[in-house]
Amino acid sequence: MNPFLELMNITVKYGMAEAVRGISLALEEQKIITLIGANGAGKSTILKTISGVKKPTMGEIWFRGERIDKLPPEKIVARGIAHVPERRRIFPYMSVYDNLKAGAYLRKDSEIGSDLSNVFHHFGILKQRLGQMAGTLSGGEQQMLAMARGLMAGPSLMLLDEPSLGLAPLVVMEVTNIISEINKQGVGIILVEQNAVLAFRLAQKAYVLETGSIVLEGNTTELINDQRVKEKYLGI
Amino acid sequence: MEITFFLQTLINGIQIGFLYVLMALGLTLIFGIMHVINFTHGQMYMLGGFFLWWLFEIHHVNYVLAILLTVIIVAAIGFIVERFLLRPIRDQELFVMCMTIALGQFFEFGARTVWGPLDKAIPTVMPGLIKFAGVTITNERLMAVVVGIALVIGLYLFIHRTKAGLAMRAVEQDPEVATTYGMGIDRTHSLVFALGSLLAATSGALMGTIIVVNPVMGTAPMLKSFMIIILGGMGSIPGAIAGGLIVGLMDSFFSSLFGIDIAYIFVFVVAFMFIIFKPRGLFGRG
Ligand SMILES: Nc1ncnc2c1ncn2[C@@H]1O[C@H](COP(=O)(O)OP(=O)(O)OP(=O)(O)O)[C@@H](O)[C@H]1O
Ligand SMILES: [Mg+2]
Repeated sequence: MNPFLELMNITVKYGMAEAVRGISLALEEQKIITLIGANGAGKSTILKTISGVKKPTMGEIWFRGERIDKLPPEKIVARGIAHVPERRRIFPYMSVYDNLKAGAYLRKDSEIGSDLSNVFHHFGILKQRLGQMAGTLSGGEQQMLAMARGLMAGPSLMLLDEPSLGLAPLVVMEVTNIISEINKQGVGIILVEQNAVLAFRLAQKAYVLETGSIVLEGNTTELINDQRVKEKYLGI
Repeated sequence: MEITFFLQTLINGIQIGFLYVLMALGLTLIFGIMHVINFTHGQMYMLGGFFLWWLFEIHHVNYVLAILLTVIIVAAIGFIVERFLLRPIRDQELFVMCMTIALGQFFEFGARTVWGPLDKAIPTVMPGLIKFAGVTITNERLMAVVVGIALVIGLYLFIHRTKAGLAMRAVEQDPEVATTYGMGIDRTHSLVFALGSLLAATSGALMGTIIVVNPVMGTAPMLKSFMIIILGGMGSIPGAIAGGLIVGLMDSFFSSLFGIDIAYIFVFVVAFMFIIFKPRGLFGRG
């Protein structure tokens, strides 16, 4: 059976430099996998390659039985992949509401209403802040908005790039809960995290990246006991 | 200064100001969203004047229809320019700027070749004037103000109430993220360049109606518009509106007090000051 998402032997370059070297990974429908690794390991590059803003120089990406690595980003998001980028990247000079509409850019107007109520179900605080300029939100609220904007695209797969970055512990807990709720509604998730403790709590499977290559992969329940993972990424 | 003289100068300044506003709005949209310093903007203004003259005076098309056709033609020219001449070199900003200079000269001397170098007058469509408290404004100038205000409102609604406007704002603020949510950069750039050209053409058509049309009419308004958007903040829409009105008033007051040459110089001196001391302008984001 075809997996929901599959990367086969993907290589990505910036100019001459290889940021990702021949990696393969797979995600089953409605599951969560995590990519962990040090700064510069290539985690964000992999997400950008899946969402189409960066093109691989080698390899193939398949999503729901269709090859997508040659498609432009707008076709990829239309097929149900929403990319929530590193450092939030909300549109700072737009209202919260317009940011949400931007996420739903390719959706039909008739779908936006139910998408919005779903977003408010997960991100209650945004409801009171619809008219506020997004750049004036707190860091935590901006992260919520970035995820909410992604959800407005009506995805079956979300790519979350370090959603816990720079957030207070309580907010990290909240974000963790929301990710898990979204997943329970049937959305598959690829989670990139520095916070491996959080990532291992959410994900069923983990891939460990070092300088563009996958050096270790396995179920999180097993990897959590791996000596190298413990020392390097879990800090125990 | 006598009060009626003051009011008259004020009215003239606002009127000319609105034509600058239209011009500067086009320039600031193109700069803000495409990061293009568009040196063919003045020639789009000039083409606005010429097409109106050609349609209305030569082919006797109804004036309102002639204006509509004119701005559509120039918007289409803008679209074609972006699509075939700017897009292939989009990442090389210096080449893009040189291309706009080349295009500007192409259009200017093209117009000169086709229509000749001499001034062309567009016959008066709405003769008459309005007098109020010793102040007069011709119907044509009043129409320029009304059209200016209507376009500013229309543009605001377009940017804030339509999907294409949402894409324009998103592409301006973060092009990469905008593409990941399905907003095409190509489409947005075509739209912005066409819209910017349309605004310049409207300004040129109205100015051509008030004064005359000739192949070099666009140069000074374009250079002034660059100063206007520096004053207002490059890329800022409120800045283009405020800057256009300020420069219109400066034009009007300084030329009636000191003559047009001093008035012209003054605009650029103010621009020096802003570039050195307040480079983000009145409304620039920082
Ligand atoms: N736009 C770019 N141009 C050139 N090199 C880049 C670019 N973006 C990333 N790189 C390089 O590619 C490599 C992988 O970067 P990437 O951002 O994917 O790492 P990451 O694992 O997400 O790191 P971090 O944890 O710091 O976010 C790095 O060596 C980086 O310097
Ligand atoms: Mg990263």
